[in-house]
Amino acid sequence: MAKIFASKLLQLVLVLLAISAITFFLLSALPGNAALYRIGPLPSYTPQERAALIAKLSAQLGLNKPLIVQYWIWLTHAVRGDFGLTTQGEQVTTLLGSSVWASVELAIAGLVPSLIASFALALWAFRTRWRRMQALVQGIMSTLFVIPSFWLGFLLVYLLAVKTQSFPASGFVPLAQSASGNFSHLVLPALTLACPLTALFFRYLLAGLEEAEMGAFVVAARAKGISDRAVAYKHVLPNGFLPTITIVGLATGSLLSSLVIVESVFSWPGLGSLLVQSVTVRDFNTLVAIVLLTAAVFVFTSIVVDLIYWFADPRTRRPGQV
Amino acid sequence: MSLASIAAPRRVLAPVRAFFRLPKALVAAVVLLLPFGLMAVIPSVIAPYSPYTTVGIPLSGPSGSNWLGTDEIGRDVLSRVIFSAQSDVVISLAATAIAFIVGSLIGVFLGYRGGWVDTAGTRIVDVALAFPAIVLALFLIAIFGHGELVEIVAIAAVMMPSMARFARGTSLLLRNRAYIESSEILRASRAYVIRRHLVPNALRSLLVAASVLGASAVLISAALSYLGLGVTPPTPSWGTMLYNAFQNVFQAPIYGVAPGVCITVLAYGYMLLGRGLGELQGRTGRQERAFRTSVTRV
Amino acid sequence: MTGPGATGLLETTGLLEVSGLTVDYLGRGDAVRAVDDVSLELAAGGRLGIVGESGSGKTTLGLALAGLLPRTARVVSGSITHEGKQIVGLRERALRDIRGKQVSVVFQDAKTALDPVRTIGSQIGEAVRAHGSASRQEALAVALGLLREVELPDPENRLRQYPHELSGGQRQRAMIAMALAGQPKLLVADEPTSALDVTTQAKIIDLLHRLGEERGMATILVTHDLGVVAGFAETVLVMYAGAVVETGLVGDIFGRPSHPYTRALIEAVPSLTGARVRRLPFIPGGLPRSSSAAAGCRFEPRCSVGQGNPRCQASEPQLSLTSSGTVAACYFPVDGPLRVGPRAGAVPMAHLGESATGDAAAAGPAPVLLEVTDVVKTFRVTRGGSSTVRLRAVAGVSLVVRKGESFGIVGESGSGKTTLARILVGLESADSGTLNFSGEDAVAASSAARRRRSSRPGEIQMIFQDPGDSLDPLMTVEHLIAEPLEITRGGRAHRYRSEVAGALSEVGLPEAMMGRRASQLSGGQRQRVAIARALTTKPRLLVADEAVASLDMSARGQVLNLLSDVQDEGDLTCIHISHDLSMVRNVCERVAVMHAGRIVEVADAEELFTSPRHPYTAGLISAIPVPDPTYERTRTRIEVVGELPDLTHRVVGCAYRSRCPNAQERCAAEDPPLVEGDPAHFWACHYPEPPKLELASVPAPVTDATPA
Repeated sequence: MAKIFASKLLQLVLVLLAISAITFFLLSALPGNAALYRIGPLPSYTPQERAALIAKLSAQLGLNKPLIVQYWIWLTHAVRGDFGLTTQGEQVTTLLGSSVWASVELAIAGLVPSLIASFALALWAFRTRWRRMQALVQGIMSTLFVIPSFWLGFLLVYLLAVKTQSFPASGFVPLAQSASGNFSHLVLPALTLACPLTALFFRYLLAGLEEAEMGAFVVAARAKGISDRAVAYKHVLPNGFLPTITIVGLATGSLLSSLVIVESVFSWPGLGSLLVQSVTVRDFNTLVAIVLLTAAVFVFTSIVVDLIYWFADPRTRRPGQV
Repeated sequence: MSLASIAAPRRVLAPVRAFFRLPKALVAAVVLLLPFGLMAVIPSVIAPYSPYTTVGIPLSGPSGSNWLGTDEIGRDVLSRVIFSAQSDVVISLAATAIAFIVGSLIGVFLGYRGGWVDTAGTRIVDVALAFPAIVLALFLIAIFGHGELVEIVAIAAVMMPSMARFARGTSLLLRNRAYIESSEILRASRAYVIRRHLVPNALRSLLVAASVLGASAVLISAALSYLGLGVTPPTPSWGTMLYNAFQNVFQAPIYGVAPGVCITVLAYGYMLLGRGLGELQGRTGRQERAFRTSVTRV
Repeated sequence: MTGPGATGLLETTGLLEVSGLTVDYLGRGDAVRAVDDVSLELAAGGRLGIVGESGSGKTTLGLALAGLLPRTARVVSGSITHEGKQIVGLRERALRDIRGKQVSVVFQDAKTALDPVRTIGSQIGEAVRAHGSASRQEALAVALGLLREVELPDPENRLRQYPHELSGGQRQRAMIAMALAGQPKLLVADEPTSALDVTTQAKIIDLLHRLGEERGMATILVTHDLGVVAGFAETVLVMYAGAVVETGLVGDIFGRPSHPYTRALIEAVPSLTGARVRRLPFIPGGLPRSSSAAAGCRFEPRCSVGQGNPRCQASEPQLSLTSSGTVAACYFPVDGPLRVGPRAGAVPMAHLGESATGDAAAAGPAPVLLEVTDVVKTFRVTRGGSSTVRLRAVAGVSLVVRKGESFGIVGESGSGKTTLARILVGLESADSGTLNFSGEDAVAASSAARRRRSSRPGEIQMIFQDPGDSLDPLMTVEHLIAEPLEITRGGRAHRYRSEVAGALSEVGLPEAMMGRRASQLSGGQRQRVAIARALTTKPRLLVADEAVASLDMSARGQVLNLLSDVQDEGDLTCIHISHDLSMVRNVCERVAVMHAGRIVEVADAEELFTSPRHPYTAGLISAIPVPDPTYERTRTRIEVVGELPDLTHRVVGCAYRSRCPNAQERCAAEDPPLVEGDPAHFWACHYPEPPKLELASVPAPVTDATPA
């Protein structure tokens, strides 16, 4: 078991290296002096000062040296936590630090309710005899699945912020400042994030349950004389939800993509907004850092997924007969 | 009443009736997608106005001359919605097609080939998957600039790894089938087996996956437009329209309804298409299954 | 309706009574009749065997008896009563009361019938707690007791283990324990041993027998295996296409069966103890397609007695008492003993095909076609996703196959026979060893080396076990048969139209079949298409890997006879890989027995089966069920202990010693080599069985004059 863990950790490092290398080389494909981009516009400097700084930095950064060496320099800085400066002159790490928490809060506020709701709905849909209602729910889920999140946000804002004034349309209040304020601003974006996730998990879970129900062990369980409810919760569910674990992992790992949109719609100051900003102003240092962070989260999530499987499915835990 | 005259109207109705005998999902998909096809191909015929000219007071609500009202510059919303289909539909279709073909081929090959090629290839695909979708698209656009072609390539690049992974999974399931081994005994080349056996038998599930891709492509492309990274204005696109609508949500709420509906319906249509295609092939599968149950242990 | 009880065949104390049961499966639009007007009775503690092939309705009947019909099934009419209590039409809640308590079910494949994510203990415990109010601890204790009762070794640990950690036989025992938890009065076993090796099967059947006696529990065994039924049941019910065609006491059913189907079915079982028959009997044709069949007898189209007979076509015959004491649904019940079978002599009968017992006349041994020397194959297998172990599938195999021979390789699962077959054909690469095909120089057995050889592809062909899998479902029959030619000679399918037509006629299929797809064919037809496919490249060696194992008993003969015919006509050598010793005994001239990746014995078929020297061969032969009730109850069994040794560990000494009653010290130290102990008879054993072992007395052949 420890062996697997170690190899996964190694995998994480390798992936990060690969991604950082790719990103770095992609950036180098850009025209113009790399030092220019690294420093940024630095509006407070005069043109001469700036030119001098660029020259000094170019030499210092070894921009005349081969690409590999430049990458190495960047890498050695990055490993120490120095991701350079943003175009505004801030430390990238500082900027990242303040955005990360806002995103984490939103992510959890979106994920957790969606997990609960999707499980509850899927189990209900699986067991219910009420055909019409089940079809309706499945239809709603399918729609939620394809609805663009920014439109959903738009609708929610329209209905709940404009028409009824129950929640603010956008913005963010840090938890430290005011818990109720934080919460009221959190509701709409969290809901926007949660709906497509719920639809996704619901689909897979329902499919998984229906697949598991076809297993011979279900008939065997019924043959023991236990109730339908027991069959569903003690046999179908533990087997049927296994494939969903992978999907939840994937969705969590790629949550940033959804966050980008939702944060944009609701002016939520998280990583997603930061990402869009960086792209618009070509702040590549920040971009690289965010990409690396996201990739790290992705690989980390896959490790967690493997861990969950290890607990949930004994076949991975103990080797069987060959 | 001669036999010929009875037969004639039946012959005309036959294709129509055949169409409706297709699986429900497929019929629904075609019904949903057809208007988009029309909007993409002959927008000037359907739309009442040009999408670029100002025709009324900005942000006025629906009226007799502007069924969906006007946007922030005074252009007719309905026309702009219709003309958006040109870019949105084309981009999503092209990107899906590329991602589907390239991704499937890579995935099927990797799954069949096995060995170190497979391990290495899968690692690469995994790294690509670790790259968050939007970020990759944003990156490519940041580097290569705006434009339809860039957007298509960017979206295709984002979707390819998941398609490849799925195709590889399907390929792994099929490669142990005896009919493939039967060809291997005769020393058929790998290309032959992939072409003749793997791809045709995998096609059904691959198409279903492609339909999900199509829906994603629509959503990603709209998201990119929303963020201002898609087609350049004044070219209309649903995403940008939604952005502008959101800016003006208090003044003209109806503005944002139509583009959003279009995106949702188009994405839904793609998904139904996939499900319908799957059921179509599945029809024969059901026949096969029905046959099997009639002669296997009951 | 008449049943055994009504005609006074049995003293019924009425544990189970089924009357006129008819069950349909509802599909989209049409309904398929699975069980048609079936009646039966069973006394407490009795043993009933329900026999039938695919489509007979036996499984549905079994499920119905336990109140386990799926929601897509509907009981159209009839009744099922357990100790007087009607269960047809009961609501789910009421049915739950009888499930597990009154009647319990043992399913076919324990691998899928046990929940993979729950421990054995918790699953059996669940069954215990389903009826009664035991606590978790108490239930586990009861479970432990049950595991002991089913003779599962090391029961304390098993409780905590998961199904995938047990072997097939152990899982089946666990499932039986689970079924016994509610102290049922009736146990329905649906093909409980079909997925098991024959040696394990014998033990499980013995276990069921003993449990029934000890608990006073009635057992219904649903199976297609006539030998198993002959040994186990007291009364037998024979089903065909949903209806009962014959029923009676086991001695009467197997001794003097009256219904033509019963007779044909028993005759189709390749004989293990009677005369060897090269061409096996079979029942031509297939099940009726539609369930809303024609008015006449459902078996009439395939019946050797009544086919074409207007009376048989006019109306369905009812069950009535026959002269042999059984109850059969036939207008022309057959009187007299079986013509072919364990008690019969080799009397050739026209519609059964000739029974040629003579092996090839001694014109000197045929030239060697294939010589296999010391082939070894090891696999790397991942266990539990972390560690990899090395599995020695083939551990040094040497063989000689002569031209024109019908060579059989038999063994149980895990013996390595399939891996060996795949190496011969080129699908797997051996790690070491050589293959010498047709006098060419010996070549390393790796596929790369063989491909470098100029030997043309298609010289060695393979027939696979699952005909559904071996034919591309998207291709038409024409393309399927032409494909080998396309691959080896190039060009498109239509170039080979004439070859395809020729191939079809060679396998006895109509030319009209060219446009059909595999899904439209029956299992037997598919296998014949597979054979046609294989023959197009004019192979010199054909490897048939369990070629008929997935076919119904009554259809196997047709495919096997086809292979024999093709062999006789052409220049074809055939290697049959199989676990079915009875089939191999009849069809093959020379047989090799494999165990744990090694050949343990090779001999001519006649010699091997009358005088097996290796204890494993003797054990295998003695475990095979024979459709002769008297024989089954009086035979002596050579024991094969336990299960296959763990092939991931390097074995020192004889790989069989852990299972061998003859094993002694020498066996643990020295691996016995394969030596020619008798002329053309090789075995690998330090303490072989004595020659001409009498496995059981075979009764003298019965002639027509004397009653059974």
